[in-house]
Amino acid sequence: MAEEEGESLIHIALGGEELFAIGPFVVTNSMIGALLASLLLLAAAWYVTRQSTLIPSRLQGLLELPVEWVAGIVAGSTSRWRGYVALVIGFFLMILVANWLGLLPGVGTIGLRHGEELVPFVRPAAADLNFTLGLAIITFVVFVWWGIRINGPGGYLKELIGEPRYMAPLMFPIHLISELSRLVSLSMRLFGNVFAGEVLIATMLALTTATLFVLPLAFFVPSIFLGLELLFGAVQAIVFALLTMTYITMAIAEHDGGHEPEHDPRDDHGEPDAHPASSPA
Amino acid sequence: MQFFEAFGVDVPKLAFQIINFLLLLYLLNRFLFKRVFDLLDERSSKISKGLEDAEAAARDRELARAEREAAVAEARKEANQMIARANKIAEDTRNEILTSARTEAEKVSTRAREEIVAEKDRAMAEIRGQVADLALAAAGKLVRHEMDDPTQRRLVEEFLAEVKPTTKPSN
Repeated sequence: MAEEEGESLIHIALGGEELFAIGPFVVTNSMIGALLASLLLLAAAWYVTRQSTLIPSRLQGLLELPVEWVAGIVAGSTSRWRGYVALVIGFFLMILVANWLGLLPGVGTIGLRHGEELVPFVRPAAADLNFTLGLAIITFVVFVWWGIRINGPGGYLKELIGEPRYMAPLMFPIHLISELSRLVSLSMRLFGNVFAGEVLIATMLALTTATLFVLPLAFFVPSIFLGLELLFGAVQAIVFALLTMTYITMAIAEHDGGHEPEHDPRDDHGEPDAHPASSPA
Repeated sequence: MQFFEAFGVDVPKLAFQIINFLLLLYLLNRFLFKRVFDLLDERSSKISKGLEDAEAAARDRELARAEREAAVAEARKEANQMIARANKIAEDTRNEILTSARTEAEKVSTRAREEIVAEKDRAMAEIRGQVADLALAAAGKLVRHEMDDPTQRRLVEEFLAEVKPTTKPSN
């Protein structure tokens, strides 16, 4: 990655870089990253479901684990969790795979040479604002849709206006901005973390390979940051997924006690399973 | 807009990412999540059923053990009772046999004694008769004088009656 070109040690592109174009449609390397992550996930899904058994094999258990884990968290949010659990797990898996994909050797180092600059074939999808903004837009649409679905359009609008009606001129813009800021915070947080991680690793690699004197450091200093990025990648994935869950939960729960009774029937529904197991004991 | 340009954001790229994710989500949900959820539900119900079964089996086992113990205790008690009863019967029988044997023996010995006494009396009477005759004969010979029989006889018998207490009956 180190390109000693004038004064800059590394080459940094803020967005996805164009690889080629199909007619007017430009294909960037981050699109390839997103596609690769998708295909990897689909392959794993195919593997899990192809020979899934009740008593899981080791690999099946490993692949089921994240689904089960996130589903367990989402199931504790609201009684309507079945309606959005797939979205949350989907976010988690997609971002996790896309982030970890970016840490593989070859990603970011193998590519086309455009003049002096190397354009990698694959760029971690989340290091492109298009990807993170796209996911955030989906989240935004979904939680607004849930709010309207639960409270009705009028109820949703009332939520935006706020409780003391005379404060509306002040509160409405604030609420609107707060809703929209979720879009920005979700997308920029993920993008910033992954992009910064990429830059950090590139920088470390460039620094440690800058002179022969520090070259031995190149064998383990970037590895430390790679390990950190492994952690951050997972953290950002779960943060994005759980924030999505939280926004949807808030949109559902903002509706007052009228929804609460629906909590209990589920608990009652859940209890008959536990009841026969415990009562004869 | 300049902000978006700087980050390389434009509508086609954004649309591609959104469509890509939604498509992936649809496929994952269709083929993976539903399957995994079903499997997890099935597995958890199987496990809870298994646990329940195990609990029931343990309960049954405990019950069977208690029953068996009760049966063994019952049998032991019964056997003890039987032994006690048998012992008692044996004891009773023994006592009965002993008592009857004792009474029998007593009866036999009494009868024997009585017979002996009767025999002795008979023998004494007989002897007495013979002795009287002998005495008479001896006396006749000695006296050489015949007395009328009835008088002599009375005399002798009187004599013998007097003598009897001094002579030993067994001789």
